[in-house]
Amino acid sequence: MTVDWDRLDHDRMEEAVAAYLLDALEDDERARVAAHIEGCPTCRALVWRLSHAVDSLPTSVDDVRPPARLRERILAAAAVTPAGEQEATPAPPRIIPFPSRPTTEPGTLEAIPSRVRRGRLRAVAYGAAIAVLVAGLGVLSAVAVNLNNQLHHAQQAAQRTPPPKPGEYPINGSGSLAGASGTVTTVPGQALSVVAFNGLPQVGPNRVYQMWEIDPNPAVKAISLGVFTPDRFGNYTLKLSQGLPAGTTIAVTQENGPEGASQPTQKPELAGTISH
Amino acid sequence: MEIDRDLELAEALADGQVEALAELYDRYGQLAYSVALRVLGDPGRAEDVVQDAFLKLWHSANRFDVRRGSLRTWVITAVRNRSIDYLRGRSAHERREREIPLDAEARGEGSDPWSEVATAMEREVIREALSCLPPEQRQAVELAYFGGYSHREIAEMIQVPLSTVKGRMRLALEKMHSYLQGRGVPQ
Repeated sequence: MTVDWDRLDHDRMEEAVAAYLLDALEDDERARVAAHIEGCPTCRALVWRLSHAVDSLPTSVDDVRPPARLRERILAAAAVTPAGEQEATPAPPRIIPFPSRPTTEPGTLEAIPSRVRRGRLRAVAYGAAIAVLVAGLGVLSAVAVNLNNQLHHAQQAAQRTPPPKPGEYPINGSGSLAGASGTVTTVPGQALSVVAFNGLPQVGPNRVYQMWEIDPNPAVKAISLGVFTPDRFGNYTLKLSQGLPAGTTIAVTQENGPEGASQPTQKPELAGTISH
Repeated sequence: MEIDRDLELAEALADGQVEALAELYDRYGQLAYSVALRVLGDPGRAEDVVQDAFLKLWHSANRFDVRRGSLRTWVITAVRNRSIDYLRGRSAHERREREIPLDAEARGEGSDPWSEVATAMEREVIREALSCLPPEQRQAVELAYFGGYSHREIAEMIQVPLSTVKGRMRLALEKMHSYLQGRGVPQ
């Protein structure tokens, strides 16, 4: 009688497939089973059947709503770190092309709603972008090489220097916005801040939320950072292409849409101060 | 098609669109947090693990392969693995990820109210499937999946041969598959 070693090996591997799918094998055995599965149609069919059960296990747990701040934390951290493969060549820097009120306000703002985009902002932004492109085309070609060199050096420096630790500052609601909150995330030394709100009630017809940068010196006028409406969950995240100095207050008011106001028309009920 | 939606979202993630990460979180954040909390039993640690897992996915979005499974599986596997690593005191780089086979079918879920109702109904059926298992089979599955124990550790813990643990795991998953299939829970 001859021993069918292949058959024996298959049986042993097949017996381990369930443990493999449940991540219950040690590294060496896991690798052997994985290699066997790749070449064995019978075990692949078994994997397909048993995966149905394993993939259902997460759904069996009690459904618990995470705290709203978790979404803010994740998006704020993602906004200040590049996406994509970390080991691979870094992606080119992203341009933030949507100035919310390009003629009067400093800084630019990129809104990151979950699903809804504001058509008005897009139209203004595209118009502005085209104008800038046409005007700057000749200049761009001349400075391209220089910028490339600068970018190369900046990337090399970034690889050598650990990224600065972002600062996080809470935004608290009061009055009619008592259920709302938010976080301002700033990156020291960089023209980048992220403001994330949650728990915002929907605004009435023809009303918008307006975000303000308020200087600690009361003689300085508030600067509008743009208007927005939250998504249906009351969330909204904004990326500002500017830093925020210590003492600056980020505040939100409700104003008449779609343009908002030139100065706040009410006491802000949602505000937080940068306190580096 | 869920596969198309998954692909579209994965491409947007790989392209560095933060709004795609927001959508990914809106779709699977609650399930991810629930799984982390089930494994870790600590809301603070669960938050940290979910944040870590989503940022890891954000940085490796170009590795997502729709042929190897859905975004849901990708997210939940990452969260479960990181939770277990945290629980067992392992660093992430010590883990060799289980490869999801190429013919595993992609499955996803939306965040619309119908989807939420369907998920709630599905949850009940899955819990029934688990509760129908003999206690020793259910124990083997739960210790491995939610406790992060290896089959060898389980065998030592409950004082049975290794082959018995493997057998219990296989029987449990076969029974669950039949139960879920019979009640129309999609593969």
